[in-house]
Amino acid sequence: MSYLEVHHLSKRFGRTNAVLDVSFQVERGSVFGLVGPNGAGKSTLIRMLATVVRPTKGRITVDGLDAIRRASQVRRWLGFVPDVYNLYDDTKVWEYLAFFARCHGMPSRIRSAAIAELLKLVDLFDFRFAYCKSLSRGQQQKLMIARALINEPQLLLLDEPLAGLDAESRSEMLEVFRELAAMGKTLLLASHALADLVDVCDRIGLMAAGQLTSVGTVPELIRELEITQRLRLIVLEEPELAHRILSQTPQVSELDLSHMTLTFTYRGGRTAQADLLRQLMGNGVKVAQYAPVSQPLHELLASAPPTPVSPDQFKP
Amino acid sequence: MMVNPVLVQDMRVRMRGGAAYLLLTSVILAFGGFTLATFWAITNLVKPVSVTVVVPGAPTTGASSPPPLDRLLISQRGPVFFLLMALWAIVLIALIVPGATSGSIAREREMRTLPLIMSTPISPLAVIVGKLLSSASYVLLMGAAGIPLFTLVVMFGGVPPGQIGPIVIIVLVTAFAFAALGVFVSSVAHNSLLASLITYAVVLALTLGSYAVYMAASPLSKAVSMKYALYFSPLAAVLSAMTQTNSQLNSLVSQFYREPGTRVAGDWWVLSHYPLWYVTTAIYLLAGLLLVLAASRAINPLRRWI
Repeated sequence: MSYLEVHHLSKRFGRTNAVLDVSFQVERGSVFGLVGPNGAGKSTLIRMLATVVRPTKGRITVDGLDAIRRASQVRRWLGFVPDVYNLYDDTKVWEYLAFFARCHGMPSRIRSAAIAELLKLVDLFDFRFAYCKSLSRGQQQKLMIARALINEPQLLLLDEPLAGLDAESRSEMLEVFRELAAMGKTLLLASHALADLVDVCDRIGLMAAGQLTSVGTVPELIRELEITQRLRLIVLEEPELAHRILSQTPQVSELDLSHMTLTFTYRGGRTAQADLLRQLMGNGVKVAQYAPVSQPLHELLASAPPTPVSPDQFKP
Repeated sequence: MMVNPVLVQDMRVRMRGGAAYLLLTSVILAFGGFTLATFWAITNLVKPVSVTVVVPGAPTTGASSPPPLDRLLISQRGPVFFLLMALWAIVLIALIVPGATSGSIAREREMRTLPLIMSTPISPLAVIVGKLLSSASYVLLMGAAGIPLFTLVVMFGGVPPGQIGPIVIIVLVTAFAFAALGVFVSSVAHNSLLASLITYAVVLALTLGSYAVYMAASPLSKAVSMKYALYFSPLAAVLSAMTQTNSQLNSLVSQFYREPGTRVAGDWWVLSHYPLWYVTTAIYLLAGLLLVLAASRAINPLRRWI
C-alpha cells in the first residue's frame, strides 16, 4: 500500500471539470512532482489532497486513512503551502508560527524551541520579531514553508513552492526538500515549470486540462513527450515528393509545406523518426535538414494525449 | 489546557495599534455623554419637591403638591434613569457588535488565510467560537468600562438587585445573539463589506424595526397581530423586565410599551403565558447557538451543503 493513494479523483465547479478522473500513488519518503500549465488543475488537486476542497468524486487515502472521512486525523500529518496566499499584516513572524503551532495542538513547552529551529532552517531567525508584511516575497514564501513544517508533517503538499525565490534560495529550498525526503517524509510539489522539479522529484505527473496525462520518472517522461513531436524537414528539391510520402504516412499529421520546408507532427519515438528519414531518402528525397522543432513545455503538454489511467499503471 | 488559538491570535491583533483604543474611548465618551444628559434631565426637569417659601403675615398663594405625573416621575427617577441607560446599552450593542464581528470570517476568506487554518486539525466550531469570543470580549471590555456610569443609579435609588439581574441577562444574551449573527453572515458572505451591511440591516431591523412596527400599528393591531413583533425586540425585552415588578413604572411607560397578552395559569405552551423578556431572551439564546453551529458548518470545506 502506498502512502498517498488517489483514486479516480474529480472536482467540478459548475460546468467546468477542474480535475477529471485523476489517479496516482506516491510512496512514503518519495518526492512527487505535478507539472502543468496554468489552469491544468494542479492547485485544485493539491487543495483536495490538503482536505480544504471536497472532491466531487473519487477517493484519497493517506497512510490507509480516507482523507475526507478522517480529515481531522489526516490533517495532523499534513503540511500545506497554497499557490496564492496572504500573511496577517498585524502579526509578527514568531506569532504567526505560534498561531499555527497552537492550531496543531503543539504544547507550549516545546513550541518556542520548534519555532526557533524552523526559523533557523529557513534563514528567518533574525526576522522573528518583524511584522509579516515587512518581509520580502521570497521571505514570505520561506515563512509559508516553515509554517507547513511546524507540525513535523509526514506529507508535504507544496503548490509552486519556489515561486518568488531567487536562485540561491531556490537551491537552498530544494536541498531542504531533499533532506525532508531523506527523513522519510513524503513530498508532493506542483509547478508550472518542469525545470523547477527535475532535480528533486523521484517521479513526475503531467497535468493538462484537469487530467493526468503521464506519470513517470524524469527520463521516462522526456521519452514519452518525444513520442508526439513536431518535426521540420527541409529538402533540396522536389518538396512535392516528400509531401506525398509524408501525407501517406499514418503517424504524420498537421503537415504544412512552405517552399522547401515541410513541418509536421509525428507520433513515434526516436527510432521511428529515424525509420521515417530512411524511408524518405530511400524514395529519392534529398534531405537538407531533418530536426525536431523546439517546443516549450506547455505545448508539449498540450500535445500529449489526455489519457486517464488506472492507478496500477502508475505504480512505481 | 490549550486556549483557543483563534481567540489568542484575534485578541492580540485586535488590541494592537490605536484603533481599538480609539473606538473604546469613543464609545465610553458617547455612553458617558448620554448618561450625563439623562442625569441632568432627571435632576433638573423633574424636581423632587415644590419649594414654597411662606413669609409670616403674607397671604398664602396657590402653593400645592406637584401634579400626579410629576409625582410619579419623582418616585420613579431611579428606575427611569436605569431604564434609559439599559435601552442605550442595547442601542450601543446594536451599533458596535455587527462591526466587531461581521468581518471576522469574511476577512480571512478575502485574505485567503482560511484554507490554511482549515488544513490544520482545529475544528470549524473552534474557529467560530474563537472569533465569537474575541469579538465578545472586546464588547464586554466596553461594557465593563461603562459600569461605573450605571452606579449613578444609586444616587436616586429605587432599583432593587432583582431588577438589575434580568437587565444584565438581556444585555449579555443580545450581545451574544448579535455577535453570532455577525459571525454567521461573515461565514457565508463573499466579502466583509457585504457581511457588514447585511448584519447591520438585520440587527437594526430586530432592534428598532420590530419596535417601530409595533409602535406604528393601530391599537387593535397592537393587541392582536403586531404584538408578536415585540418578541424580537431587545428594547421591548428591557421594558418588559423593568416593568415586570414595578407597576408605577409600568403605568409611566404604558404609552410606549404594553406587555402582550395576559398570563393565564396553566397555559404554559402559550407565549403570552410568560413575560416577554423570558421569550425574547430564549429566542435570542437559541438563535445564537443555532447561528454558531450553522457558521461552523459553513466554513467546513468538506461540508456537503450550504
